Amino acid sequence: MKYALLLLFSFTLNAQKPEITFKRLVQKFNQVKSYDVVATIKPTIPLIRILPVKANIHFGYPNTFQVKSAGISILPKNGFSELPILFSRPNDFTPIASGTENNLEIITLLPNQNDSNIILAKIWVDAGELLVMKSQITSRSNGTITCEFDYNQEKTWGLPSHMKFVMDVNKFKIPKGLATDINRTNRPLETEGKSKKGSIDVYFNKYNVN
Amino acid sequence: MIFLYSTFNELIKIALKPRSYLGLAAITGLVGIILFALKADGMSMISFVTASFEQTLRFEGEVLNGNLVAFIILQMLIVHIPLLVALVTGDLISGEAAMGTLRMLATKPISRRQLLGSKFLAGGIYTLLIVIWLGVLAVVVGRWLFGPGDLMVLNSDGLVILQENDVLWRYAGAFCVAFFALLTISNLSICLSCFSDNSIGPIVSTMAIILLFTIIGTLDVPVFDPIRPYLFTTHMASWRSFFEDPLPWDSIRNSLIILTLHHVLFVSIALFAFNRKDITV
Repeated sequence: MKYALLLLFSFTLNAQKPEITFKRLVQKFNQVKSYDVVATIKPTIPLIRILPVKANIHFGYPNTFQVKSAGISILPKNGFSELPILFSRPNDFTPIASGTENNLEIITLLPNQNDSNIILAKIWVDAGELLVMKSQITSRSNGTITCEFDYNQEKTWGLPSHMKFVMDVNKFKIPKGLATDINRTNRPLETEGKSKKGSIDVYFNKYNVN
Repeated sequence: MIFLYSTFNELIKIALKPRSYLGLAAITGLVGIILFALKADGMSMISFVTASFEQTLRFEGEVLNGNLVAFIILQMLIVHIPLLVALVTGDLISGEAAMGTLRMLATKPISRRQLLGSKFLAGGIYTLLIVIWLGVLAVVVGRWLFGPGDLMVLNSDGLVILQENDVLWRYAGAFCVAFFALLTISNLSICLSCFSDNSIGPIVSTMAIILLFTIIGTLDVPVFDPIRPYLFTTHMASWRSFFEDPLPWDSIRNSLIILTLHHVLFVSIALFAFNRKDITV
């Protein structure tokens, strides 16, 4: 009976731990009401050739991101705002412990409503520093986007110095009728035999936190 | 000196023909329609191109800008410009033969070679004017109406996004290559003009040749593979190479060599034919 009670107690602790970690992450996220940052966006995507672009990003609590770049820049659709959506609406998700990996706590977030745009989210958390090191968010609109985070000076606010978005680019297709290169009828596409994953690296510097 | 006078006379003759302004007017009208359409509903056209990317990605910044508009105009119109060029240059010799003024022209103290050379030069200047006018309308008016910005180009390899400060020299290069390609049409039509005594023949023949070569070039049939690289129509679109990154210099140089060989061929045939042309009847 004593052992059974101990076992039940340990299960209860495990069940509460992701909720506590998630709650602390949300509290840390709530500290920052707005910030401006200069970002360098460097996409590496099959079928798209673009040089790195500088942009100014303004964040407004809870999940507003405004990106202003001098030229054309490419970003994951809703890529910046999906993690803030998770943190700004903690009651809409149920955190579940999913083990550990490289000393990082893995928390799976399940939406409480069936019609939620986010179907499943998984975050890898450095519980000691309360930092999200990796996220994998599957949504109805964007598919699965994985994001890795690096932190530097602004880690006390939970603001990353580098984000790497990795996304599936299998579904990219070039409308042939519009890309008429008369002298290129037999040339194979560059992506043939190559990885179908694309990535976008975003380097942040000069944070101005309000 | 007499060669320059003769060229000047040819230019005056071109300027006095109403059909010479048909090309300029057609380009102005077509560019105006394209600019209006893009201003009114350009983003829907852009989203048609970027739709498959926008399921996962988001394009930030002004995608529809003057540089993209200029590229769209070039892409749409450069196919039709040969007709407008041939309409004037195909008439330079056969038109005079039809009116009977060629005989009178030949009585002047100028050799047939110089006379033909002046017609080739005048045809080239007219072609240059057409290209410059297209360039002014596409790039200058396009940038004025839509503003500058990065250029997003759709190739068969994918999307290439070129930064704004990297675009203008590419347009300059593209227009030079486009002019060189159109000069081939001008020379071909003048060459055909040497064999005809009516205006319509060389113009229609030029268009028929362009059509035939374009079909051979675009048909993905192995039997045409050996000849396809040597057709001038294959290299008519080489102006597009200037919007690739990195720039395929070998491909551009190859196109220029093939086009130059065509220039030499057409001028040589024209010289041979014109020197032996019976202008007494």
